[in-house]
Amino acid sequence: MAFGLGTPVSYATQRLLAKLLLHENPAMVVSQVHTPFTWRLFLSILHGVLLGLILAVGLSDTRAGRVLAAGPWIVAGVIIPFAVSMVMVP
Amino acid sequence: MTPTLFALLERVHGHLALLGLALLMHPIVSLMRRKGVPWWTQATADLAALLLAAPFGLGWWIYSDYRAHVKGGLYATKSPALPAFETKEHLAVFAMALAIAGTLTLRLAGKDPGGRRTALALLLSAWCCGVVTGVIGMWVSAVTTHAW
Repeated sequence: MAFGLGTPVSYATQRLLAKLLLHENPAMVVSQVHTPFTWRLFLSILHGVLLGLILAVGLSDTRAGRVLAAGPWIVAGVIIPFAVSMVMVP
Repeated sequence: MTPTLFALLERVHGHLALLGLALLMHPIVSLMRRKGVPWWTQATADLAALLLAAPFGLGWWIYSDYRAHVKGGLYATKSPALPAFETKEHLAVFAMALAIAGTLTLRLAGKDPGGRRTALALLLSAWCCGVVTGVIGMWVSAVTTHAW
């Protein structure tokens, strides 16, 4: 679950921060190959894996059970806003 | 990469993703209707995650050619397909990560009812993101075919 939430959240955050802070020139997008997307993708996967490992080590079985019981709400509450925030973001 | 190879890989990418989405319906429906996790539910969840991850990898591979040869044409014509295509890429990352997380949650916590519900939520979210990705992909594909 941590990987499933950590990766999209990291990806969306990186993309939104880049859009807000970098003042990208849309014309330059054409001349780029796939470096920004690749970096964003691999960094977000790394973040998801690291979050999963940290929680797997640090969370007791009892706490993990409690988190899983609320899992559907956590998934919906995290994924829907971040997925909507990505709509029509270049 | 030649335009023909690009078009071929683009179609393989789309068809594999469609197959993965269709297969993903099985564990979703099975988890909604059953209390346990039979081995075939786990097997179809694993296979669906694999079938979504493989076309995602293929899409990443042809993405550089898309940007080099197709995106310029879309940018020049100010096509609405341009931001829609990027939305498709973003949601594809969501779908791939959620499908892998869903099948892992099912495998690691499938005996726990909370684990099964969480796996269902993850797989259902992956399916929704995947369907939106597929619909945008079909529309963008119809436009980009002529843009090379």
